[in-house]
Amino acid sequence: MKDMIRMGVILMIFCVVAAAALAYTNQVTSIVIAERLHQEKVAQLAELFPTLTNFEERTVDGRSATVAFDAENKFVGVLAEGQTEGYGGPISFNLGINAAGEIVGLTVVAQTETPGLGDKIKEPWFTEQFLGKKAGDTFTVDAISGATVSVKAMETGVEREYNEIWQRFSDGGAAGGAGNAAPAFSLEGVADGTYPGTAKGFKGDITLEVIVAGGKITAINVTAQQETADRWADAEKVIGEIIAKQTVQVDAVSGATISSDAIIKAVQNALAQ
Amino acid sequence: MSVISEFSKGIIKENAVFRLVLGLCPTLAVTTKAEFGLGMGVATSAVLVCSNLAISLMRNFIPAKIRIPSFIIIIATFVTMVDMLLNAYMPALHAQLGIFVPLIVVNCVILGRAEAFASKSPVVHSLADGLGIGLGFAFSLTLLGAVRELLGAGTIFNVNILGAAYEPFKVFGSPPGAFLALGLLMALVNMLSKKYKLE
Repeated sequence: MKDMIRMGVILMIFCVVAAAALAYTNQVTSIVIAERLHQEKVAQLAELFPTLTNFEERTVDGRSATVAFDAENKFVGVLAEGQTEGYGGPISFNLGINAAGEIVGLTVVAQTETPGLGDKIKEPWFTEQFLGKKAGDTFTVDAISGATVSVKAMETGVEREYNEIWQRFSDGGAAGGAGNAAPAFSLEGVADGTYPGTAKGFKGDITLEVIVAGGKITAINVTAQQETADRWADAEKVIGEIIAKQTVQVDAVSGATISSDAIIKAVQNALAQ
Repeated sequence: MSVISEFSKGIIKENAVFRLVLGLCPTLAVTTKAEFGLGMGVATSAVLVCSNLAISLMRNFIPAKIRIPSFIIIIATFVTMVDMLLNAYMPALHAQLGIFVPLIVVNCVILGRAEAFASKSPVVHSLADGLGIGLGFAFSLTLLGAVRELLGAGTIFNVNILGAAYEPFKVFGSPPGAFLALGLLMALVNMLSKKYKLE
């Protein structure tokens, strides 16, 4: 019995030390990984929406999607996941829709259709048939012999999901993204004073004050943030740039995209009030 | 045995892949190219050196009855750290090695060295053993990757060696080719070590 407790305690010590070491490594690497995934997502979205410079995850009526914006913060398109019931089980796909409401991208990400027959629906020549379709179009495509059920599933599924997504996100999903939306930016008509603004950063809210005097941004004071220290030092450079250029249309700091984007957004939010 | 011979034995005499025939799962699976073999070899070696060091340091503290779970916790911790670091700083290699990085946890080279050597030997010897075996493992994987890449694609480390006229043996890039290449290399290593009396 005593032996059992001793061994249990020793194993526990191992686990505690291991957990601490992993937590530390994770803290260091998760930022780099998140930063890279962000860049990869931008690259992936840029293929669908060439004018994209930034994106945001938004949820409207229980559906989430990635909403893309261009340099002037205008809505350029939306990418969302859709599902349909195929012959062999659920088929999930990514659907990209541009600001004109046309399908610009369709990729099957997971399916369990019959190999050699139904699984042809994931091939580019098949999915490309949906490109350019928009509200009011018929969503019928060429049939594949031996795969009628799978093809029908895609036709009805893509049409249904397209309608659901477009209904929610045709305006960029502004209704649902209120908390982190990026309102149009203009210094005109902004009276002198101190404006508080908040936006979500990598680890939590970033709160700051924008001081406007004589129609110009004269200072930006960050009052609260929980970002990682060394990333934050990089991200803060964006503040100097905003003041120098008197606009929020500045580039994010590479290596600290999420934090510096959050600063830009917080300033926008402050001045939009 | 001296520290130096503990180190050098792992490179040829007790080479993990060609002589002990351990850790074949990643050896066969990832060596489609020399760079993947090298990446996997270095990742495994890093874990091996760290786990040998840690286990040797704690060898008098770990009760015999729970040594295997203790070793697994130590090894799994290092593997997960390597996995995170690769994901953060070498994403291309991480994507290519995929599931084989977390599978280093059950790599029998590492558990074998922990059980057979580090848990019974002083720290310096264990470190030398880990470095030697790790280097031998990395070398073997790189060699196997280079041979498969050369025959299967005509290149080594993505540098074209055999020229455009060479028609590649596609089979060496596929799993059966891994067995063929490993068998041939093993025969060659055996022959050479007999001839030069490296036993």
